[in-house]
Amino acid sequence: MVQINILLGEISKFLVSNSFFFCMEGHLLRTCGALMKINIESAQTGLSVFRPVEFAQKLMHFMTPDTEDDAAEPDEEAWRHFGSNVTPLYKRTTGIESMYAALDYEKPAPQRQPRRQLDKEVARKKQPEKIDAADLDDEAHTEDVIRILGLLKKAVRANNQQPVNYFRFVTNPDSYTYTVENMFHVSFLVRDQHAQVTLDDDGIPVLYPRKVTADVVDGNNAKQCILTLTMKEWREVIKVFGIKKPMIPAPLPPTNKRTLSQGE
Amino acid sequence: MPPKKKSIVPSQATQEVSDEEMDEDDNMGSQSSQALLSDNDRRTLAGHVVNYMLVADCKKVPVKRSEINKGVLKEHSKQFNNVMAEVTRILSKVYGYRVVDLEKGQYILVNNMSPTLRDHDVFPATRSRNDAATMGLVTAILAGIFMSGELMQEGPMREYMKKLRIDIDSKDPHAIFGNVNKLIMQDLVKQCYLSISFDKSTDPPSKEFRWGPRAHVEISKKHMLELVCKIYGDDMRPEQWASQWKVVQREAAESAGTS
Repeated sequence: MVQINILLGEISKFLVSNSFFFCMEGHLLRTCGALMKINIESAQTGLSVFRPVEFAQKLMHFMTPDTEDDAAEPDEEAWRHFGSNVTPLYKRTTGIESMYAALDYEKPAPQRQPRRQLDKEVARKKQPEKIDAADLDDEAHTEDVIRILGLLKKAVRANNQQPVNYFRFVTNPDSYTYTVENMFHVSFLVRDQHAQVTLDDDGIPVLYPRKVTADVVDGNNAKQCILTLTMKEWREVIKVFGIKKPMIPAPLPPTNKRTLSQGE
Repeated sequence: MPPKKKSIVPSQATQEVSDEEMDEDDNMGSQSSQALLSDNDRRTLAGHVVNYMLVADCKKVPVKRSEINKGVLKEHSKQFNNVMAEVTRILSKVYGYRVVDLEKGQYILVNNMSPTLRDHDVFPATRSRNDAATMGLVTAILAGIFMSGELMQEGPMREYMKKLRIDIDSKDPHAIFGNVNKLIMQDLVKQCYLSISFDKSTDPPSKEFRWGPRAHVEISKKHMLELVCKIYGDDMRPEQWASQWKVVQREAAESAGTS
């Protein structure tokens, strides 16, 4: 401060003596003023002076709280976190972007026709696939079916070559699901003509194995029916026929779960 | 020094007063044409203007009166004030937005909802994840400017940004913010967050950074000062910053006077 006062004194002396340097006056005074301001600020130790670089340091540490003071290096996540925390301070609006492209939107009606055809083609493609899949299923079931056929033959032999009571054969008194599965397998046998179902004198369906002949069962003899068995009926069957244990032993846990899940 | 801002307050009394004033100022032609605009037309046009402003708000660039006239009102341009009154009412009642008239017929939207409602995550003010980071940067810049006496010279700004690992002169894209030179010098100025003027006394003329008009209406200086104190930590009180505290007091007095 003292130096500046001396300087000012010298300037005024200078100015008075030499008017040529008037142009320098303004610039010099301005510089002195700036110097004075800096000196005043640094002299006022009690008041808080804002130093941007110091603030920047504090800000970075604020954004990355867990790091050492000197190592603070805010990454994208830190900036984003800081930003989302300060955003509530702003009275910010959010513009509205329409989700649809234009206000006038004509639905493309003509496009529907080619699409329908495509769907049909896809449907057609799927059907052959389905048949193939069914064929595969047959192969998977064939093992079971063959096993069941074997069991049937054994049962018939045990019964003096007499046909076996259908219900007694398929029913598993311990498990409804296995009963249904047995019915399912037997139906394959019948379809492939490895077995036949007839009604005996009492009107009870009986099962008998047969050889698959070259003669396909003609329309007169071939009959189809749908068998249903509710749980209630199943329990009744067990009671009526007094089925104590299954003729078809329950299958071991399957290696592939397809057999159970595809019992539809 | 904050720029003068005239906000269109949507209350019946002032609307009528301003309409009347406008009538007296305008020539007889517009006074008669004002009667031509039916209520339905007025509402329809106002609706279009509202849509226009809401979409324009996505970019945060102010809407110009000329744009509204040319794009929406067209032959009804003389009805601008009439329609704008309805526009302001709709934006306030339906969206909770306030229309702020910056100078030279430019308009921006400001969220007029109370802070408790604004904090809700349901209506986020940041459109994308990038937005959040940018708001952080804007806050850092505005804080620096405010604490430096509401004006920051180019030199100190450069040093300040450098400390934050941001080079404001480089054209190389920043990892987070991309082209920061464009962001700060152009985008934020266009969005009215920053105002850059030139100090002609230096050679070459150096830039001076101030708060833009949007910054003034969107964030209060009191909150800015409180945030700065929080960043400094150590239980720093806003009152410890004498000159900045004075600005805060002045702002509080001004807003108490207008509300």
